[in-house]
Amino acid sequence: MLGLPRGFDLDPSEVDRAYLERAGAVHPDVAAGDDDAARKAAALNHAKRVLEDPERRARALLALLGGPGKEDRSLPPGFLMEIMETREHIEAARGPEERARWEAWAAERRREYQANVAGLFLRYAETGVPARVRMTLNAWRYIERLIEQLDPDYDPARADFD
Amino acid sequence: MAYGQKIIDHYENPRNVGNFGTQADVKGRRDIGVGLVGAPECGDVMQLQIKVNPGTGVIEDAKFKCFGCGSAIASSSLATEWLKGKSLDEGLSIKNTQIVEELSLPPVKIHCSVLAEDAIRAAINDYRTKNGMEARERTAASAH
Repeated sequence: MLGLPRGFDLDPSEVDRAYLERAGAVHPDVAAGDDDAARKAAALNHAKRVLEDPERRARALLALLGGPGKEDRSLPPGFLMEIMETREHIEAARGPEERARWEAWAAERRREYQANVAGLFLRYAETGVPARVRMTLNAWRYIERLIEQLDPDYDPARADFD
Repeated sequence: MAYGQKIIDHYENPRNVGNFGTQADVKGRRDIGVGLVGAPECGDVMQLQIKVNPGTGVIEDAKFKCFGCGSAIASSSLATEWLKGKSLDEGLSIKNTQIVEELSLPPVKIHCSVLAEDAIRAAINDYRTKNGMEARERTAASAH
């Protein structure tokens, strides 16, 4: 939709350029009352948001390549137990310094997952790689969720009940 | 979004939070069954532990730990309440649709109730295999 090459590694400025090139023509100021243009503008905004978020971009790319879908819930052996224990350590963490250490830990995991996925997409055609992308993405989700909930302002009720 | 009073109550006053010991502690305990499950759609993780009377086969106590959204917390809290006093077979018959109904979960939160049902099954099957019984698969009537 944005006419960009299909791949995980993207230059953010290219995303911006491709978006701006197309968004002008369907902007509500230009195309007021045009339902088709409004739909296209919404789709362009959505595409931009997906592409700017590495995890969502990876999911979209895997789907585009026809890789294993979300019914494949595989995780590395022992992963859930590790994440549960990590969550309990974080819950027990006291003081801003200990929290900051966990934040740094989580940010490092995020970088690792992103780098792993980038490497896997480069050799996507090899046997077994699509399944490994799926498993890596499944595990990555738990890290992103952990980061989201590390935010001191995170309130599970707000995410749900508002 | 309008949520019912029951779910908010379970979220604000979750029942039976905790465990009977760490994973390592309870690994060798044959009276404890552990279910550890996750939802790759959202990244929530839930652990349910049941304590079974070896003589009667009745689930005497249940505890949970859930790092997730309010609906996942409420679903697992409700699951622990329902499990207490039930036999293993009665526990296995709990369906996610009953949790959905009891808590009035909206469609986007049904997967939270599925997670709780998965945790119940995993905990009961952990107890069963620890005690020389075969694990039981999800029954055909289970709604997914």
